[in-house]
Amino acid sequence: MQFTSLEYLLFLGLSVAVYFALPGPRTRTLGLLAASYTFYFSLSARWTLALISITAIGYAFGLAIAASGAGAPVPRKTKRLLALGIVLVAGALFYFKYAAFSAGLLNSGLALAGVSWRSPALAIALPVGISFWTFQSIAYLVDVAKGTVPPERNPLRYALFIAFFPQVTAGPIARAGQLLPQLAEKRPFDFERMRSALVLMAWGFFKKLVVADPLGVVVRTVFSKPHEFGDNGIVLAGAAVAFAVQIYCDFSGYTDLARGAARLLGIDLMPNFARPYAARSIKEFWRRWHMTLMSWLKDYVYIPLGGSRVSKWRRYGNILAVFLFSGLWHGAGLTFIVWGLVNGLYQVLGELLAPARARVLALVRITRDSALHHALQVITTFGLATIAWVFFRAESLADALYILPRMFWLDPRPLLSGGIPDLGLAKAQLLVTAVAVVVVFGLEYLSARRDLTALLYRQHVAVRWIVYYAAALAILIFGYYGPMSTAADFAYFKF
Amino acid sequence: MPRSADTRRTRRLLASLAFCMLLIAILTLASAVVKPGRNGIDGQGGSAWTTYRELPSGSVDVLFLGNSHVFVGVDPAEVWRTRGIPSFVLGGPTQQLKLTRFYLAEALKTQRPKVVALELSSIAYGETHFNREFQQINVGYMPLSAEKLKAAFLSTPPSERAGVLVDLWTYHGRWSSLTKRDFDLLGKNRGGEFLNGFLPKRGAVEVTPTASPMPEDVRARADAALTYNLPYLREIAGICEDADAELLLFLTPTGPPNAYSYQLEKVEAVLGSEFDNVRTLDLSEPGSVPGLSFTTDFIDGGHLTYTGAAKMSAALATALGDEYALPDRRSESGDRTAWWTSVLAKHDAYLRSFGSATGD
Repeated sequence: MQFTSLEYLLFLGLSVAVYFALPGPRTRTLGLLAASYTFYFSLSARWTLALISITAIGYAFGLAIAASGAGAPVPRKTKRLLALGIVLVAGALFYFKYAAFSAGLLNSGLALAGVSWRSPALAIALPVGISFWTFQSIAYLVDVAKGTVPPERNPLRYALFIAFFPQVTAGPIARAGQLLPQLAEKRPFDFERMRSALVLMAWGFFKKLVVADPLGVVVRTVFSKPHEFGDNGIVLAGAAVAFAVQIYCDFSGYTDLARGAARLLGIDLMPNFARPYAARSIKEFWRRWHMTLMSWLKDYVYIPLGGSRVSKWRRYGNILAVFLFSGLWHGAGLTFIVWGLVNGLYQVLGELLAPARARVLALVRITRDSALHHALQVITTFGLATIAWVFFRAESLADALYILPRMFWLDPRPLLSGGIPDLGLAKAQLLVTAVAVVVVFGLEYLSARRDLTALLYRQHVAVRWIVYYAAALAILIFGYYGPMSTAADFAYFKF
Repeated sequence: MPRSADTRRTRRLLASLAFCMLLIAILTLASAVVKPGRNGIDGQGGSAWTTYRELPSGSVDVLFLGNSHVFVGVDPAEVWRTRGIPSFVLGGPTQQLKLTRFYLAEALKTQRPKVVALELSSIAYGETHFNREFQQINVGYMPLSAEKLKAAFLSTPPSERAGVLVDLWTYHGRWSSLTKRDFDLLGKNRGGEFLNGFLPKRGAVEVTPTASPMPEDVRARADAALTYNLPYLREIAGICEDADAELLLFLTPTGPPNAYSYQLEKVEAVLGSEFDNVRTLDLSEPGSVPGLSFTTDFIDGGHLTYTGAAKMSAALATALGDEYALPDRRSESGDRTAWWTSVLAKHDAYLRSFGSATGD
């Protein structure tokens, strides 16, 4: 039951109808929890027990931590309980996500050392969304230990906090202080909220179906066989840029669908994106990209490591550690580790080279606040992010290292002599996708300057309806879905 | 609650309902545009529901059901020409028997045939047999009805249900190849009415029928498929019984050896003892279709050219007329005879333009 399936839409409609038909917060909690477990069971039946187990651990340890005396400074006994709780939750994540990868690394190391013993090969299926709900559980335990949130005593409400169906598969990673109070309230039916939720979901569908999935076909065509395009740097560079757009529209589209679904139920989830490709530095990019993960990493990894209140070189080490951790969180593989490290290095080098950049700007007489400087910063940041994305998307480190040097060799001759190679999409679909990309970034650019939804709501009803119908038709006609497509799941579902 | 708030809420509710209804209307229209026309000509075979549903009630004495063997092999014009029996072919490509039962139930809503003639080669389809594209045609072109929903939910895998129920889901990708004809919503499904569900084929190949004992593995598969399909056949026989119609299970001629005749005999033994209205006819037996040529009358081992179909339909009409004492309607005066006369003229003209059966 994927977010873009008819079954999910029917399920969501039914869940919303039942939710508002139920009389009080308790029955609503129970109803939503039943819906959430039904949803998770439909996606990952065999791992529903893992979700319930992590929920039980989080709930029990939350109460135990609170009983042992929470608050700053965290008492020693509480610290021990917290450590044990984190080890159990993180242990589950490690087992499912990293055991096989670690065994592979161990075997490689043993082979290099000339040891004949080998760890048995492990093939462990990954429970859907485990990276998200284990992080949510850990954050809850830490917050309870610090005394920043009270422990949740209602087991059903805590279970719903972990399994809430709009966000259980790929976030946004909620904080207990933000989500639990909302789950405890009885939210009345609100027409305006419903409308804004549906508009948000429509936007999510547009980004996913009209932009991300068709681009995904092009990206898959090139990245699955990069050697076939080795002499065509423009195609390799185009595919890298296409992936940068695809991953954004896929994940932000998913987030809009998740937030829209939650909003239909009267619940606000935290935003995950704030126009990341408008960022003027990699540091700013990571403040705008997957914001709930990055704020989690800041609060629960970077700051405990000392954050910025340490020496310069230690801070650089902390930054690299956080991004290495981020890379590993995304996937157990060398490509993800390198991707994380590259992003960390960007930031370290960005700070180290700041004086040199300032001197160059002064030399070429470009002022810091000029539009040209802003544009150069945005383009450079996008370029650097795109280079890093090559590691993220490539099927192996060798593939990434094959693509990277060649994508800068923008020789137009292969295109001029052979035309555009078969990228898996018809030309008309490619054209529509290109227009849709312009629409997405154009509207996001405008929305940063003006509240476009408020502007839409102020229009005459006929204008509003025409816009809604046009959007629905654009999604349903130009969207890449159904039996004719080979569209993939949401990219972040695998994390 | 203040009156103004109440009024506002009612107005919003009504506006939301109006919005949804208009949205459904727009999406229905869009679906109709992107869904390919199915007019019975242009090489499209099966699921001739538009033509069938426009027939005046009481127009069909024999209803032919089955898979592509039936809509490529049975030519109602030849059935009329031979014995004056009005008939229609409502088969579907690679149609499983578990779906045919819903075709039959839906078809009986508008016609009361005296005989339902089911071509039985689809009994070879086992539980795992499925073709997405054909299922979209078989179920997708059924009129919206309880039978269509049953066909979607009881004869289609869950992952494919959206594809057979929601036309926009299946066909929206055609937007870049739409032609003027796609926007002709009234005319796009018309044009081949005179064929009455028949799909003439040309491009004959020579087939070599060989008599050989059935291998054990083929027999085992045939038995498994038979066991799987028997409940559906019983259901079909029951529906016919309730509608006071005879059920004829028949086979069209085929080239290479296969298990159809073996399965037909077994079905006859089982259903014959359970139902009074079930008979069988095996036209795949050598010599049962006079003049049939293995050089010019087959396009492959199982499907006939239009010349083969004419010969087979004549033999079938003779058998139907004799077995069931169906009246020869050609002697009747009235609209029906005039209509069939006009059908024959158009049919013959179309086949003349169609070219030689042996051509590509």
